[in-house]
Amino acid sequence: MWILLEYAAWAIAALLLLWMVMDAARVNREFDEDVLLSSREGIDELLEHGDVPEAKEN
Amino acid sequence: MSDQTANGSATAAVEAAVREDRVGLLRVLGPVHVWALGVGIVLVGEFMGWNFSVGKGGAMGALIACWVIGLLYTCVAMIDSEVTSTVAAAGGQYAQAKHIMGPLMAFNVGLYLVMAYTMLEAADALIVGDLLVILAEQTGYEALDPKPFVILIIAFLAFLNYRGVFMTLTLNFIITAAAFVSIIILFLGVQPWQPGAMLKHSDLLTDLPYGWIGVIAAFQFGIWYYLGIEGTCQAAEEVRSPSRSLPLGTMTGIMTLLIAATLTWYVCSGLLPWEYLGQATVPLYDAARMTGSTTLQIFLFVGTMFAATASANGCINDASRAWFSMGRDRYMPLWFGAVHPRYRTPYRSILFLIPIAVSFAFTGLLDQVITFSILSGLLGYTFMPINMVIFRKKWPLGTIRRGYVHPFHPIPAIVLMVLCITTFFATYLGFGVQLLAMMVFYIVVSIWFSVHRYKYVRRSDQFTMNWPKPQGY
Repeated sequence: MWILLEYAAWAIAALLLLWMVMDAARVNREFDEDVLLSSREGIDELLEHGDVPEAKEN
Repeated sequence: MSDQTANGSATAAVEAAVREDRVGLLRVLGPVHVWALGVGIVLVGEFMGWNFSVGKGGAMGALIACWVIGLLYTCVAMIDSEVTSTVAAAGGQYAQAKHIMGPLMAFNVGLYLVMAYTMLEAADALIVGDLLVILAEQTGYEALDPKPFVILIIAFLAFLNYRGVFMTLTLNFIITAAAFVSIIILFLGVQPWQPGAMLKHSDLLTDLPYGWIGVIAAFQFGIWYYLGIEGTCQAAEEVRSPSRSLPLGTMTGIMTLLIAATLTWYVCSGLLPWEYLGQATVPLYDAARMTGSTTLQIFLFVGTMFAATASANGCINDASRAWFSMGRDRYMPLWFGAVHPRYRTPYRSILFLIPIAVSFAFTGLLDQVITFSILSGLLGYTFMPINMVIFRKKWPLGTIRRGYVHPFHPIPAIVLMVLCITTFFATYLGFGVQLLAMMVFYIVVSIWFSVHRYKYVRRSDQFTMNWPKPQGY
């Protein structure tokens, strides 16, 4: 049984890796690089919403 | 079939909308996920590794290390909570360092994070493989090859991370909570209300076998109880309310770990002599075996497996966010700063780090891999007190809004710095060569960054926080 599990582990791992590589290749092909790289660093919610009270030092 | 068509149409619609728009990481996480990320990475250290501190300082020395290093990490959690509730960006301490101390420190901190988490991920995968080998041996099969299972666990968790952060950290919450519950069940199972019945502290606890220098030496392994709690900050760009969720998740996380660490020490030191405990591979599981209860053994075996899996899962999440952030700022090739338009994850960074984790895992050198992981983490903690002091100096209270303000500043920063220096000394006692090799590595890459890489960085683009000018500038 363990030998079968070893083979199954190799096979499932290979499938998962292959799926990710193929999906990444598809996305790279279908989407413009500017869109994929359009993420911007986290906005400062605290400054955006002025109603958030400032924490007090304990 | 109609469901599949509907899903396909919805996906196509989402992707079509994205084609014309920006894509960023998805803000879907809450405090529970932050807790699961931080505690999930760490909890495996309760199941193994911490006990080497017993070998250095005896059982009482290990308890001192547990609490002193617990104090170190409490300072880390307090400082992190304040800074990251203000710098709500993926990359965690990397983003903090960039905004507060400057690019060179940020580059180093980013690398500490990637190295620490990728190596820890490899070590966790090795642990899962070793556990399966033990299980196979107990069922009569002596020749199990752990490699396919090591690759499978890395591939499966990378797949989860690739497909979305919400599912990834929801799973982490479930398996981390289950692992924590297994420690509680073991604690209750050894009847702590009846000292002497199962727990033999009065017989097993001894004086410090190697004196106070042994206690200091134990500090390096006391880190195992808590290593990675600072990883909560990596979720900053994916939580719905960073100013609330990050401090809440981080502080409840460190409280959980302090409880789990103390319970772990209490149970193990009451069941196992320090000479054995100091070199055991899976001390909590061994403690469960000592009770003679098959049920407890099963709980602890599953708990250990879950804890290692949760840790690897959180490490993939954190390492990829740190690498992604460095790519987005061009500290590394910009190509890594891409976000998947459907799953909203840093998919290229996740993919890129898979072969690196696998190669670390295939060295088979669990102790060396973990040592380098700990050293990278320790370098990261040493930066934090300096960062905190500069942060409060440049932007004093009242100049920018903070989601959380930690009390007693600058005492936590000073305590953290003193404890980091002490732990460096402790590490030098046991792993001097590795420590020096690590220092040389970071000096060399710093020179590379300053001389070569920094010219590609768009200096104005990297500072995104809408903060007033710092005091004195």
